[in-house]
Amino acid sequence: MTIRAAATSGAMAEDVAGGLPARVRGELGYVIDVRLPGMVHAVLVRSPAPAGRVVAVETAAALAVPGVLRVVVAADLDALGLADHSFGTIIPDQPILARDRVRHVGEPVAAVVATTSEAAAAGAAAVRVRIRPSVPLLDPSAALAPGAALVHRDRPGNIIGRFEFRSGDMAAAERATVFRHRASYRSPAAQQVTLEPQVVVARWRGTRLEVWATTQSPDRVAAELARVFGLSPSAVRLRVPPLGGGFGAKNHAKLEPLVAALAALVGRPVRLALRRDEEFVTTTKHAAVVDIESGIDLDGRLTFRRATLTWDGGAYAHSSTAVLRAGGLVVCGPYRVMAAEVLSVAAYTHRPPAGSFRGLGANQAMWAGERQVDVLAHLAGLDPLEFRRRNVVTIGDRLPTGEQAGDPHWHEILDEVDRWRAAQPTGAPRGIALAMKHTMTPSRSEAEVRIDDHGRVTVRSNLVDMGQGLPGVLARIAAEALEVPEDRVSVASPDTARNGFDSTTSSSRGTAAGAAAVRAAAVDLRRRQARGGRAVGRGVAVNEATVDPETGMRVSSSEWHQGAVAATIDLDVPTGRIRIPSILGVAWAGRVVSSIGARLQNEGGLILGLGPTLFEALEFPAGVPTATDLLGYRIPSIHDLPSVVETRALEATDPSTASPAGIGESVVPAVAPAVGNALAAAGVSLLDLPLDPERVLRAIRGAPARTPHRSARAATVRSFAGGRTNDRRADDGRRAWRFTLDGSTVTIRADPLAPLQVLLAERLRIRSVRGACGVGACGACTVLLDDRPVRSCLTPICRVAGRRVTTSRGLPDDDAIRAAVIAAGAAQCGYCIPGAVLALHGAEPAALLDPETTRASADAALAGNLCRCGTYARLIDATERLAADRG
Amino acid sequence: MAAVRAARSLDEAVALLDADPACRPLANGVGVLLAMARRRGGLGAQLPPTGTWIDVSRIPELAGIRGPNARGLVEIGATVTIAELGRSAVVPELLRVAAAAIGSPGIRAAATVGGNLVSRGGSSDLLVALAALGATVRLTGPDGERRRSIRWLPAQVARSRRTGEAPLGAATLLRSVLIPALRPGSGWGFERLTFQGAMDGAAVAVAVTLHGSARPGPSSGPARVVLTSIGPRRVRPRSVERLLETDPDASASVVMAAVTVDLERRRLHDDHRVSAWYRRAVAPVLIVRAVSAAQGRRS
Repeated sequence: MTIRAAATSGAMAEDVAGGLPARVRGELGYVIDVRLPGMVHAVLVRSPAPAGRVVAVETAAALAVPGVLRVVVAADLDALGLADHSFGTIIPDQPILARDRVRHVGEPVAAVVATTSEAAAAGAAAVRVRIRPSVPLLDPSAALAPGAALVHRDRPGNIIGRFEFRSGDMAAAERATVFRHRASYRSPAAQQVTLEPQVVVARWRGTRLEVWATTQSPDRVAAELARVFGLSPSAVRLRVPPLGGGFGAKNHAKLEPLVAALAALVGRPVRLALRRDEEFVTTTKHAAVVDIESGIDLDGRLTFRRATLTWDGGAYAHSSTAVLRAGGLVVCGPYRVMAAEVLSVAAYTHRPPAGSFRGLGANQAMWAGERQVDVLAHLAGLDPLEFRRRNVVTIGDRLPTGEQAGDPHWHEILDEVDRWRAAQPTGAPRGIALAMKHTMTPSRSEAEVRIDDHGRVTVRSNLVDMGQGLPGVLARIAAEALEVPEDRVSVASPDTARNGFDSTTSSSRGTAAGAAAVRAAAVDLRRRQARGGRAVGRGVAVNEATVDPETGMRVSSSEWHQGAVAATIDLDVPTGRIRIPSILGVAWAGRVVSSIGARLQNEGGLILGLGPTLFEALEFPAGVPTATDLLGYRIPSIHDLPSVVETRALEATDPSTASPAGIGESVVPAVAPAVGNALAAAGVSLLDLPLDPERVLRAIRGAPARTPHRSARAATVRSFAGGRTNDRRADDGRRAWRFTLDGSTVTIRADPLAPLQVLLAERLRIRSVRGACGVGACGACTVLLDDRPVRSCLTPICRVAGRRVTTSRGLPDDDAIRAAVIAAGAAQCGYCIPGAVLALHGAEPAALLDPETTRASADAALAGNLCRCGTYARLIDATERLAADRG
Repeated sequence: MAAVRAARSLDEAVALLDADPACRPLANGVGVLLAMARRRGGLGAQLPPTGTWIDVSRIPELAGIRGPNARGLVEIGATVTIAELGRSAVVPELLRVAAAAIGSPGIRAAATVGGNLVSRGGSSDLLVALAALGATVRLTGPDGERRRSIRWLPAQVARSRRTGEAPLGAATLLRSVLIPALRPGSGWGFERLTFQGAMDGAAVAVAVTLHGSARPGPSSGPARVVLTSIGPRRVRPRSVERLLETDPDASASVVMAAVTVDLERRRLHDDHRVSAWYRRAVAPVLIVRAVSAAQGRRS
């Protein structure tokens, strides 16, 4: 396998303020590491039914479990005098706890608070929820049909939101049309799968609320908490340590109101950390159907596009209104059209709520739009790249929405794709696709820059570090602006009590908005210093929905993220399995602040995009998710990495004068259509995702598409239902186990079959041993047991007695593998990386250090270590560097 | 609560299991913790398993890979890890390849042969290879030792899932797996189709052995074709085996036709990821590829 160097330029790879060594060593603290005096633990009891009336919640058995402090149901919240029992950043439609009605499988019905997480789990298992089920609405089209039963009585038509626009003269466009094409393209739901689960810790200090949460939107969530609890905004303090991945899953309020309420009811700090199965019913990617029709004239120029996008929003709105708008804005692509008509609607259904997913709505829209562009190119008799060249907007053009195209770089992007195509072997089916995505507009970012008497600089911002390299970017910008060495700059974590406001860390706005705010703060600081004032500066970056003077319409996005993907495929016709020998991701960056950061973002976007393209899909037969763990729902592993991964982050002619553009999502929406177009070039044209072997083979053989399988995982329902007999008492059966941990002898009292991971992480508080799946699927909990990597989540403590356990902490300071990983910059959020480093220690040294075999050796060693950020190529790069140095 | 009692010998383990039918054997605990976690939904480690477990991990009779003996049999102890199996120079290469397909290095380092066979049953990649090799399982229970063809195992596991009874019989342990040597001139093939690159359960897996004749000359020996992950039970298309016994060099098209006819009459798995239609469609492809590989390896 060859991973070629990215053609990025700009800053050096060294990470100074981003905490790369700490991430690789596993020393970074996440929300799950927050421990407060007197803190207790909550476990939720959830609905086993997708729709129905709550008949009873029986709590007596749970209250008898030792350690259980309280079992909270919706009625208990009345004692808090809440301003609102429902929450939702955009539409407050979600009850903190279901009271009389449940609207999706997994909806929280009760919460058990106990002194330990084990006791809380035992208590939750003993709660019995009785629900009188009703017929669930599971199809958004049926939900939107006149006369459909209502998911929410006060939401007529089951409509979460709609967005529509019309531009141009459709009649004239129709008259100019020579060829037309219409089809419906489907994208299923998916799960974001951040390896770090959603975690919230809350405590009250009098009437002041303190929260630590895994959120991408600290200020929004704090504001929502203030609204729900009837507090002034200044009475809520929300802090966000680095996140173990976000990908949209952690946008908007989800668990924070409930945990704050529990803390108020028990009068102690409360922590809630979701299990993996709970993640699957907390938020998902929207399933969507995009019905799209387009026309072209004799010259192969687009004449019109009509599109209707129907989104399955699930039971609660979350960010559906943003998603449906984001998809509607870009479904016509970056193309000139004479006329466009777009309607985008999200429906309530009885499925778990759908929310943001990296690529926010553009994924589903571009799957349809860019797949159809290739069909139109074929109708026009044009090469797909030439067809796009002919139709993309350039400076001065208007987008299909009717607004100015802004700062388009589509021809430069297509030039890169063209060069890549020319280098590919002839004969391999290939496909290309463009990706266009809006950024949140309007939005606001505030930053503060301060210099102390020793010349140390602190940057404060509420932009969230979730693996995208933001601290490093902000530090570099500050260092440049203040002309100080980067190692003098540190970046503080978000804290709504101390830092300025920030709209959200999403829609790839962090780099652009953060850089602008920090630069402005640095200028302000210098100005104040020149006047003899304090060594502190504040800056604001605002992007506004300005009004187009010609049309009078508001600009929908202050900046358009621009990207492209090109891929070759290798189709195994008899089985329908696709392999991707080569993939290219191109993103317009304007200015690359960190070359390794840009590469990681682009590579990560490509790899994440391959999951929903090739195999990720979450279905809800009878309202129950088809998978609720990482053995049933798989995300791309290192073995799914294309043989050759190339990325380009394109810069302006003079990058020093350009503003950096966000590139976190620029390639993601183009992955599926590029692969789909390559597959079509191989003769298999599909409208539905994912392009899994069965779907492909059915198309090859002309077999009808598979009807959805109706089975539901009974275990899922059981696990949510509670009411299980539990003969266990939390502190029974424990005995002392002695073993050597990182060179020291430790003794720990535990149940003999208690998983080592839980004991290391929760009892001994070893940060590098992360629980992310609990089923041995992800490798984040990897430790060395007598020098061999094992999954500590599947290792009972009784198997460890008398043996040596080595965590990342126990590796020597000069460990060569870890040093190589750091040198390669191979970490994004970092949640999984310590496990990956230890997994590499299981490789045969001779094979790992031989330049001829190091790649295969690393591939084999990392086969079971998942990285949702998509750092695989850099990990391979690390081993290749190591082999080159030692070989 | 869980309690673990260590057994120092096979007899002691059997006696302990016999004394308390609720006891279950425990080797390295991978399958036990995995089953509990999946039942709880992923990070279910908050509630460890309950009951009494008999630790069999230090019983000498269950450990190690021995042989081949005078009859050419290789014996694989039940507590041998999948990683040890994958590294063994003694076992047939087919078995090493199948072992490498299981889980990840971190799983293989702890998961045992016995645990894999008893917990995975008919969907075990290891079992399909062992069945193609004509393996026998050696069982020890209160009534002494008995041997069964490996083909006996999947039905037992399936039955125990339904009934909750001990899969191998009351107080009975899997002691080892015995593998006969491949005759000179034999060939093997192993194919496994997953939707993803790693850690994915197979939609279909197949192992094929074309055994060389005991006698020199053109006549062929027995053939074994074993499919897994395909139906309620492991599938062994006998008509294809007979074809290959008659004509070990049968062409791909002939093998494909035979497999297709054989599978037409079978009920195959249909789950949310993979339909029976797909399994029926690709199983012949994988068999043909595995047979072709086996033919290529025959000398």
